[in-house]
Amino acid sequence: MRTIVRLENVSKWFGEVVAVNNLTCDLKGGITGFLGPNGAGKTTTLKMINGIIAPNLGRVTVFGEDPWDNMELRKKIGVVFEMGNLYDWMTGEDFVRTMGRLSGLRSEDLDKGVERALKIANLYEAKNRRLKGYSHGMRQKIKISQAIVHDPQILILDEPLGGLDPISRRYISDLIRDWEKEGKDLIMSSHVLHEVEAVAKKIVLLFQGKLLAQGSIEAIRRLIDERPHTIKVKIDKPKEFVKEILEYDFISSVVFLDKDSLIVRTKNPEEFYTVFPQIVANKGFEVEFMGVTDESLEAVFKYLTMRTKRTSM
Amino acid sequence: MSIESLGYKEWEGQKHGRFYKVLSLVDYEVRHAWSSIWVKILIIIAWLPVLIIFLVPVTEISEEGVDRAFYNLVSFTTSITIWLPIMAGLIGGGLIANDKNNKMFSMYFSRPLRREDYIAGKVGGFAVLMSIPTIVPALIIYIVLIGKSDLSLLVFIKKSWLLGAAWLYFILLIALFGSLVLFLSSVVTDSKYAVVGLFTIVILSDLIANLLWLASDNEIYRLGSLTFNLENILAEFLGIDQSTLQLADQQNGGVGGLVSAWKSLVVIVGITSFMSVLTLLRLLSLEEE
Repeated sequence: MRTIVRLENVSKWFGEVVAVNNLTCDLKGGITGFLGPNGAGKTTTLKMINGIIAPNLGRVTVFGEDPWDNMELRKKIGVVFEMGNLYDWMTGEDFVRTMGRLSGLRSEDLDKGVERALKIANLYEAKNRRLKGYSHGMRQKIKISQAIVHDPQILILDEPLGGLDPISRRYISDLIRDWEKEGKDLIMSSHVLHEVEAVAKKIVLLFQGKLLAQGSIEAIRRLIDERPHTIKVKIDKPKEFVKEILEYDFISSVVFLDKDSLIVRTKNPEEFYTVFPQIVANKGFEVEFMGVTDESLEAVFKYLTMRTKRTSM
Repeated sequence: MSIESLGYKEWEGQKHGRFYKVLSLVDYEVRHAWSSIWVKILIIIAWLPVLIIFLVPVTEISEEGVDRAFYNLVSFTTSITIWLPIMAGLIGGGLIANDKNNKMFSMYFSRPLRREDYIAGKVGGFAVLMSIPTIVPALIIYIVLIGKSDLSLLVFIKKSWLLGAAWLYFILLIALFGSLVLFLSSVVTDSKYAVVGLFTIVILSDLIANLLWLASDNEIYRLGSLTFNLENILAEFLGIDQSTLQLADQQNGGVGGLVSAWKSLVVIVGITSFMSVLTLLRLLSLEEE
């Protein structure tokens, strides 16, 4: 498979903070997920791939070219990064149109591009509404619209599923998979394994700016699942839920945080994630939140770091 | 709706060049500023002289009347020393600061948009907005005067240098405040600090220059005051009798010997150039963390 992005001994620092530390990896075509806790260097790496920022050391190439200040290359890339509410006064269509114009689209092509991008993001009906009135999910989708208005070859999504409701999450996950089916490439970041796992086949694991592991989702999952996870659950009948879940021997402990939130510690997250929906469906529980805690992910990464060190000794 | 069902395929059409992108950015900035009620209010205030000229029935205008109308317009714009920095601050304060605060650099620079084009778009947007209460009213007043007076067109052609001088002055004004506010906007993340910074510069320059001048009786210190320099240049551009200002100086306790307007011009152009270079260097090296 062709290499679309190559990072060779790349380092980037901001003042005294080292965001990316001697990172070397190749990204092949298709969907690749950058996984790591907050501060792992995911966003910085994505920005270097896009050529928004330049590495202090090392070399980044995209399709064999240096992306820094490379206007021709940028025409092939669409990005979604975190952004504020500066555009709230605009309508959805106006926003996508403005971004299309900044990408250099001409009038007729611009009209077509805007229409198509809005339809892909399922926002065509809401195109005349101001962004101020958009929900979080709609905002995320309009950001994807502006990123694809100029038909890029690679789509870069920074935490595209973070904080989304299940319907929006599913829609964007489908959109990501459809993108790949079109023969296009996508790089996304997340700090939640299950988000990346749902769409990506290849994962790059980052921790404290360093490459921890790279490979297929199965290989990475095996590595991560060797370590116990702590999962936060907010549910309507917590006592009944605990009674049910403690029946399984892969549960190490359960701790109540408050009257409806609890932390479940499991030796085998894979089994937990299989059993959990079954229990919820069978017993009719209502789940408000379920997700791995940042501390848990941090612990997993620390464990993997130590494991890597031990292996290399 | 999925991508497949829309027959998604890579677009291979032509794309516009850099100038178009700069224009798009200018267009965005103008519309963005226009969405603020305060900008609208300030622009309406700036257009009051035009409305007055429209409303007051003027049937006989002498050549001196044309001079006076122009002087009134330009002095209105500049003598209210609070007004122009507010306008510049309100429009320019957030131009870069808001982008930084809202992490918009990624949105802009992930596209085929050069930093130079971004800067040109920001400057262009500021210039267009600032020309609405300055350059445009000057033109309209001139046209209204032609339409309302009984003077021959030749008189107005002869006096057209007034329009040119007013425009030149406004361009200088826009460039000065633009360079100052854009630099301030590039170093803060909250636009209100840029506005406060601009005010501080204007007021402090005036205060310190006047104190030094009064303490030393040396006219050269007056060159430190932005407002003095602007008024000095305005008088020179519009051919206003300097002795009037000299007399006013003496009545205010000054020594009355005025500093050459060309020295003021050098100071203003120098400050503008220096701040422009600083802003340019700052923006070219600016990175979003």
